[in-house]
Amino acid sequence: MPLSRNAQVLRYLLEIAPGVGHTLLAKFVYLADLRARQHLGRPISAMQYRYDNHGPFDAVAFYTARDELIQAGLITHEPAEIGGYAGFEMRPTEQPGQYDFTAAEAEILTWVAKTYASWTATDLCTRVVYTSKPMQAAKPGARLDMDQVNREPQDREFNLERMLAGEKSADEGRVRPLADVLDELRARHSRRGR
Amino acid sequence: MSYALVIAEGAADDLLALVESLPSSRRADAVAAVDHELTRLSSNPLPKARSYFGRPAHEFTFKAEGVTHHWGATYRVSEDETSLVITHMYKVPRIL
Repeated sequence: MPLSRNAQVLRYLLEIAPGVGHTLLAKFVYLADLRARQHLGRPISAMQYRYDNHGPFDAVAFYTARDELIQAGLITHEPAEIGGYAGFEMRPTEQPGQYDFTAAEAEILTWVAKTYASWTATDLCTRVVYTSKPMQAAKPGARLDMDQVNREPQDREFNLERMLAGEKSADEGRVRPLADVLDELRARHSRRGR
Repeated sequence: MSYALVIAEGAADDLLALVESLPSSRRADAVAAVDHELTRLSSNPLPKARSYFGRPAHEFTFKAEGVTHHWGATYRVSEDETSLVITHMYKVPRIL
């Protein structure tokens, strides 16, 4: 049976940042959703965030996804001391995960996990999570208004999917000297043509 | 050290779309500005002032017929460190 979207997100993040605890992993999901909403206009996970004791969290969805991964043998879940506190660390098992992310979604998840893997949960919350727009306006216990950050790429503005497509074409050797492209543009749009 | 300046296929399409989004009377100035800025970048790609998902970007402002435009390019240096590849060109978003 295919993994739920939330379980896919947790497992993918754990592949990039193995050994993190619940708090950090939950914040990675939140930040990935935030970035995805800002750049793609939609979240990656299906989490519905509330302002919980430790910030944005969807406890039911998170623990359901975690249990799904444990039952499927896709992660380990062991007691550990994390940041001086008793907690649990999670690691992906050898069993390969199956994902249906777009290239842009995978890029966002990878970037979030790589960027913040070495941060403590306290630093991540203080410096990044609590300063994010949905959290600034949130009330403890209440649902976060995540839709306020939704923004689909506007015409010709920075577009993550186009950047990744550019990188793919560069990887495949589909590049040209910039001078040639500019010469063609000059020929097309010379001042004489005004 | 100056890098050979190349542009990925998709980024060349981005550049064409950007230029052609302008009134025809501003296009020559825009092409000149892109040439100037990216040549400058290829001679000194560091330090990066901006990045998107870890990719460095060069963002620049130019005027065409008195109108200010703010464009940018993401790029990377090839593994053999001989060329600088433009991977995407865009109008700088107003809110991000």
